[in-house]
Amino acid sequence: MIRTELTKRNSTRRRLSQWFTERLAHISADDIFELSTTTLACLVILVLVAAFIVLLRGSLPVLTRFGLGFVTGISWNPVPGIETFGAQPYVLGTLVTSAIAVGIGVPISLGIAIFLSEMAPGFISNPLSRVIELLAAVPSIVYGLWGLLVFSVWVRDWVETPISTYLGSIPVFKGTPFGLDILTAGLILSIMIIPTVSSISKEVMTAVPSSQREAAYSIGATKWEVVRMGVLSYSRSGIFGAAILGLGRAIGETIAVTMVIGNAVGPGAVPTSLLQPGQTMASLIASEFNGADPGSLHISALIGVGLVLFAFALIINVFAQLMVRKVLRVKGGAVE
Amino acid sequence: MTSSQDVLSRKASGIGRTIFVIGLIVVAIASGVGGYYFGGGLTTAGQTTLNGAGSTFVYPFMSTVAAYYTAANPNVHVNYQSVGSGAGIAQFGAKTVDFGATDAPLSSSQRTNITNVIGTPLTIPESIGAVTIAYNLPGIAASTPLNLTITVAAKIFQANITQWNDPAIAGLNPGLTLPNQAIVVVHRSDSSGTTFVITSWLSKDPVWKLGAGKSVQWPSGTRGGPGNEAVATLVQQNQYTIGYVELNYVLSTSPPMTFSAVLNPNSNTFVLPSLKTVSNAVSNSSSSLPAGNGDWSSVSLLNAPGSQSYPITSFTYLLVFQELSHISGMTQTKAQALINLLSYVIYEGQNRAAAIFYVPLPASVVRIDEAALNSITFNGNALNHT
Repeated sequence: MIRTELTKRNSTRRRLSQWFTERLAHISADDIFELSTTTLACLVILVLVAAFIVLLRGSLPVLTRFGLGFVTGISWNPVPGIETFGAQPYVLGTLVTSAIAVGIGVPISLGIAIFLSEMAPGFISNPLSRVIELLAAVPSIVYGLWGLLVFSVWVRDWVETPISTYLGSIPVFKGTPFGLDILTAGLILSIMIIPTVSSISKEVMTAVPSSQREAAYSIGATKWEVVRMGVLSYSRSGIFGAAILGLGRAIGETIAVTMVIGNAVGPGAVPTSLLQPGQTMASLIASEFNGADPGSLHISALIGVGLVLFAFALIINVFAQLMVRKVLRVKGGAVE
Repeated sequence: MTSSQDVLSRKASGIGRTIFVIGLIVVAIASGVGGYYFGGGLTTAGQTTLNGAGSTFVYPFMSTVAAYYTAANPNVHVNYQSVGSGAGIAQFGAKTVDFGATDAPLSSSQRTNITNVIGTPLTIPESIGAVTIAYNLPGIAASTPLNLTITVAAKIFQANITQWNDPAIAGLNPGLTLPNQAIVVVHRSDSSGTTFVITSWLSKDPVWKLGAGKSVQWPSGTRGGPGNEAVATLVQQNQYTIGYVELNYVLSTSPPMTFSAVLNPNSNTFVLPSLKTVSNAVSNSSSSLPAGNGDWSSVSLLNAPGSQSYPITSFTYLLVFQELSHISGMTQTKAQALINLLSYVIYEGQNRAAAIFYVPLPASVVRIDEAALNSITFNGNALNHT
């Protein structure tokens, strides 16, 4: 009898462990991996949505008070009792500084990338590309300090004084040369986007198959024509993507811009001349957020500017994706 | 040949490994979070930390005094965050700091709010600041400073007067040859108590249209810099600029900055800012100061009477609750340490002030502060202080 009792208990235990192993065996490690990576990917979207909700909630007071006038207005008066807030000058300021950054930075980056991928011998190209990538490692605050203390003085003495003396009558160059203005901010931004755009463009160009270049040589193209026909047109969507990345960095750059842009507010911040001080959305928030009275309409207005910046960045990214997909599509296995 | 038993056991061990790794991550996160909540920082046993936040103007003074205090009392650590007057008041009202510091006193509505919701706040002036109007004019030495009146200063900062040799400026300075150059105005880009003081002073003249506040809407063509240091640097680096900077910064830069003498309207004299003239302004105003638990929102040292009183002077205040048990985490030891610190600030600390170009409190203000300190209680019991 004791024997049957023991056997019964043993067999129950064995049956239970067999049940567990069979259940677990149906869930493979692959399934757990898939579940965890899906969760992490959804977390990214969650963060984006959460950020949007917080921005919306924080800017509700100023949006209900001014409505659409907040985005189109140009006044910025935080004095309690006579407050008016309008974000338009800062949107324009962001557009202008980013345009200067991309307009100067992208051609230079393209030139660097063409040199590194097509023309430089190996012993120059490798160390040089590492040095250029080092530019991306410099912290933004260091760019800002260098810009404020050194670069703005150079720009004032070597760029703005001649411009003001010879071209000062043209409205876009009007103003006293001071060093802290939209021009300096745009130049610093262009330096900051060079490493990103050039390294990605170089990768894209190096990935172009040599059959393209050989084909161009075979029909008698010069070196530049080879680069233009064989390489650039093949990698144009990748280069466009790099330029958009650079633009994204230029739009969001905060500390370096705050220190050299001159920090104008209100109607004074509407960009009328390169030599006048301006303000971008990011630099405004950086300057004023720390000291604004919590709970006041001022803080709400700054969060509203943050919301506009967020929407701006999203729209540009969507536009870039569409451009790449619809217009710049290159057939035949190009790098995208 | 793998039997089904082998496959099952391989799958089981693979799952076991995955679960082990996930468990490790969960334990790491839990210990990190747990450490944050239960660890409470790197304080060793027996050490007290006092937290304060607020004005950036008074940060050099507070950090110097705190360093001397900790040297004398090694088991008390003072942590002062210079986040700005607005944030200082907010954190004081939220009871997240032991004391707040602000250049602008609590407004009547802020004070009523805090009194109703929490308890009586005490306003304790601990130092004095003055805003100077600094300029960079080559050819004008520091020995012959520029003279300015409130009206002319208002017009310059508002960009109504745009040239240095404008008749309004020249009329006040007959002995100086002013250049025929455009004036470049430099202001603060961040919210600042310094801006609050100078705009409050400029608001006394009807010409000034921009109002008074920690940020105002500066006109087109003026430049902003973050912090007193940036404004001082910009004025020094660029010719024909004018800006407003706290006194301790203009006195401590080298090479020294040039700053203007301002007309005191009560006595019609042009007064150059210095530790002495600022101190005069405070001494001559002491009669109208309220008690520590009173309303300081209308206290103003601007345009103080006296022929040698600098007109653009202001207190900077410490805010502390009269009943210290309102602050979460306050203990008897901590309350004692706090009141000793406050006592140190208004007595010994003032001896350190002049060396770093802050104006020490006159005896009349120290008496008011002493009365305020004597009224501080913890759980209803008065605290003795050294």
